[in-house]
Amino acid sequence: MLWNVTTAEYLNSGHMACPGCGASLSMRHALKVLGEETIVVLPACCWSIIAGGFPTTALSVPLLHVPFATAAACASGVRRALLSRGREEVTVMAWAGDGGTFDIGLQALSGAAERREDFLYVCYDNEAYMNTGIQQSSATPAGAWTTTTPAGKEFAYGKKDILEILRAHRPAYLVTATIACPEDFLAKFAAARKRRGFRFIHLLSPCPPGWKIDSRDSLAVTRLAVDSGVFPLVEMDDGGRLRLTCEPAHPVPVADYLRAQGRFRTVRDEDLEPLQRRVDERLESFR
Amino acid sequence: METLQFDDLIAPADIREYPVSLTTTEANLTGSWKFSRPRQAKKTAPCRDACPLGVDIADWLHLLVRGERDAALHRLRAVNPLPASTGRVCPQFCRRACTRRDHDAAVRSGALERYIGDYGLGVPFPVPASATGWSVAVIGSGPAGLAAAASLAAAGVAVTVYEREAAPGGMLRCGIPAYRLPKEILAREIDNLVISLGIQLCCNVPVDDRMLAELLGEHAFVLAAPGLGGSPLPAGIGAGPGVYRGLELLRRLAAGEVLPGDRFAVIGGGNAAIDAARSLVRHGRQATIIYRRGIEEMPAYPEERREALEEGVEIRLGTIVAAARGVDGGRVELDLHEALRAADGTVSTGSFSDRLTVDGLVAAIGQKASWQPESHKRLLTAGDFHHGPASVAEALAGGRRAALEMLRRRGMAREPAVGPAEIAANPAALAVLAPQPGVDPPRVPHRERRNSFREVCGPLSAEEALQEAARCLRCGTCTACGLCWFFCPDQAVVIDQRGVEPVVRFDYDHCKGCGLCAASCPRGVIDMEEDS
Ligand SMILES: Cc1cc2nc3c(=O)[nH]c(=O)nc-3n(C[C@H](O)[C@H](O)[C@H](O)COP(=O)(O)OP(=O)(O)OC[C@H]3O[C@@H](n4cnc5c(N)ncnc54)[C@H](O)[C@@H]3O)c2cc1C
Ligand SMILES: Cc1ncc(C[n+]2csc(CCOP(=O)(O)OP(=O)(O)O)c2C)c(N)n1
Ligand code: SF4
Ligand code: SF4
Ligand code: SF4
Ligand code: SF4
Ligand SMILES: [Mg+2]
Repeated sequence: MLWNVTTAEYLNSGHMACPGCGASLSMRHALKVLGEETIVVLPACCWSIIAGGFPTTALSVPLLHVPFATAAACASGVRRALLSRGREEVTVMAWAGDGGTFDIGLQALSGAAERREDFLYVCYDNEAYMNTGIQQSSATPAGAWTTTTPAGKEFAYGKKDILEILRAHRPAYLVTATIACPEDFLAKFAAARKRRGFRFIHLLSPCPPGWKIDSRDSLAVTRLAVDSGVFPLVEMDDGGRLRLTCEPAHPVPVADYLRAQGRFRTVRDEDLEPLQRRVDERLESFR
Repeated sequence: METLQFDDLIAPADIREYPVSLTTTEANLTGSWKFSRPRQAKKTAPCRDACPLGVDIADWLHLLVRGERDAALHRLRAVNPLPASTGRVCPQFCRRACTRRDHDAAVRSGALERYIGDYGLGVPFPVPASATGWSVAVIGSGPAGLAAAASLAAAGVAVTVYEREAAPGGMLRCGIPAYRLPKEILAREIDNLVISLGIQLCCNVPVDDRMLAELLGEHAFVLAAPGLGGSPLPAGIGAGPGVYRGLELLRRLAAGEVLPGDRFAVIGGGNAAIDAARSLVRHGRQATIIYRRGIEEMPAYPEERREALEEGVEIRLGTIVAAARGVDGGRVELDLHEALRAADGTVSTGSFSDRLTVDGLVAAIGQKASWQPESHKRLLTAGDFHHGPASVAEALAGGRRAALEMLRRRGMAREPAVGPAEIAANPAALAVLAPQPGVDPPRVPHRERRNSFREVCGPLSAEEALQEAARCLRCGTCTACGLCWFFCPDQAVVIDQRGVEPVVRFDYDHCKGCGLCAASCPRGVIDMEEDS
């Protein structure tokens, strides 16, 4: 099969994600790599809904719904319980949105990383609080429309640099990925599965209603984020430096990425140049 | 914590101290959310659509990849009887349309055609159908005449081809120089065609009006495919010593004749002009092409232009030769004028710009028909003679079309096989695949090209050819590649490979109509249609 992906499915049809949702597709392939022996720890986020209402579940692996701020704390507990029962082979994956990671869950996340807890934390970043109706988070990029930034998020704020925050904790594994670049995504989940210690994967995850794009274009638009350098695919090396794992395959200007989405409609042409510069500098720092 | 009772869903033994979901979401028929639904449809590959002959490139390449080399050859030659030749000289209309073009490199369909064509030089055509009892005379053995003859002979029609020259091939032989199409390859390819299909070939027979009338009396149909004659001389330039017409010069140089002088000017921007200049360079002469318009407007193929420049041909653009006169020592003096461009794109002669003295002046400015037979309902026409100067592939296509028309009129209706109407196109979907640019065939370095008529472009090895053929995506046909399955967030794609061709089925009960499957298929075989 394509890219050696297993035909086993751990995400069931009939889940509650919107058409074209990157969060559901990312979970599908994350679990295909991690396999049956995985426990998912899920704070409040779109995925709480996607997972299905009681008594149904969208996953055929165990999934724990936990309070919004506590993904990393609960995952720590699950991991320790497993260790005390001698079930070291089971992978624990905390799976949280950007609100649950960059904002409300940051304290628990920092604590777990600092304690070197042995689990995988995945943030699927759709760049706003989507589940509650598209409010801005600290992961919302500059210029993006949300219901709480009706004129676009102010350029003075921009997107919080979660990678730098985590890098400061020296985790065992730290990468960015997106299902829109599947080979890189699959390789990173496979590597994360093998590591021990605190592992963090930052996924860019398209959200058609929140980004104001056609569901059909959700992966193509996300690829533009990579090709424009807005979302570089990186990995932390042994020296603690973040390095590109893939050069943009077909480089495009930042404008191509922004203009493909309704949420950036208020970005003026004169704002593009400084944005481009910021993106170029950051991309260069990963080379 | 209070425990919830769901006796009908969960066995009491499963009920723990906290609520646990044990049934799958598959019970939710999320298919009801959709506004559009995916549908799989076979389509025509863009390369096939772009090929004047409509060659189903994906089809014969697939046979080659599967190791069925003879089947691949026969499949191709049923439509294009001269692949060793077209594989060398066709500008590859198909390749320009290839889905892979911007991803890594367009499939090298020309190099592959040459590969299989060279193999076919020693493989006879399939035995023709049983004799129909009627006959056709073909005037001209260029690509148009030969293609018609091949299609008719294969269908069991008795064909006689009349050729004015001493050998067959038309412009393939008299126009295109050996460094692009070696004479022995052409000769072997035509011999194989003529002999294995039992075509009667009569060379050194120029057909005139009287003979045409006789042929119409003897045969069910006559096909006139005499091509076009030589180039006229431009206004202001008279015949005289040191003044040559393009085709005449090509023929003399190809025959090894040594023309006096070192420095030549060639007027024109088409293949004949470039070929004349490149042939002169190969005789150790200096050649300057003088063309009225810009480089991009030259009708000559870009590759030829590039190679000419590499070989040291000089090109003067936006320049018109307004007058030429013979001067002392048999030389020719040219008045060069600026070309003036009108808003509508027409070009007229502007002011004097330069004077150039050369040993030879070559006019290669297009060909004109040299014969105009009276029309007759059983006289069909094809090739350059029919549609004006074009290409080998277009001439082959015209010849084939004329043959099929004759068969149709005789009740042997064999409509040319065409693909589905819709063209497959979704190159954007290739972005997820790692580029695989393949290798170009070797080329003789330009310094070594200058003094020889040796073929510039080399062949692909058998291994390279197989690798290159495997790069073909087979656009318009599902190959069960799995991309649509991979990118469906709802597990609603099922690829069924039990039949001869894979079929993609959709679980419409759960498909939400997002369209990602359609967006992910590089072969363009999934469409989204409105959900009723
Ligand atoms: C210099 C040059 C380079 C070219 N390079 C390319 C190229 O790289 N790629 C490409 O695709 N195309 C190229 N072309 C164009 C291509 O060669 C022609 O479009 C094609 O050969 C036309 O085919 P045809 O069968 O219609 O005519 P022709 O090839 O011209 O053949 C006509 C034949 O009919 C014969 N004939 C004419 N009158 C009579 C008569 N009264 N009785 C008997 N026989 C007669 C002629 O002798 C000739 O053999 C080139 C053309 C020229 C001139
Ligand atoms: C303590 C607490 N505050 C607020 C909420 C409401 N709430 C549920 S999901 C959500 C948004 C989550 O956003 P994010 O983490 O980005 O995930 P997304 O919905 O975008 O996938 C909010 C605010 C909650 N469940 N708990
Ligand atoms: S709102 Fe966005 S992230 Fe949430 S389910 Fe829908 S598409 Fe996915
Ligand atoms: S990939 Fe193959 S089928 Fe598709 S356009 Fe190119 S040559 Fe044709
Ligand atoms: S993506 Fe691949 S498997 Fe799916 S329809 Fe297209 S060719 Fe067939
Ligand atoms: S990707 Fe899946 S859900 Fe989306 S339209 Fe195709 S089959 Fe339906
Ligand atoms: Mg979010």
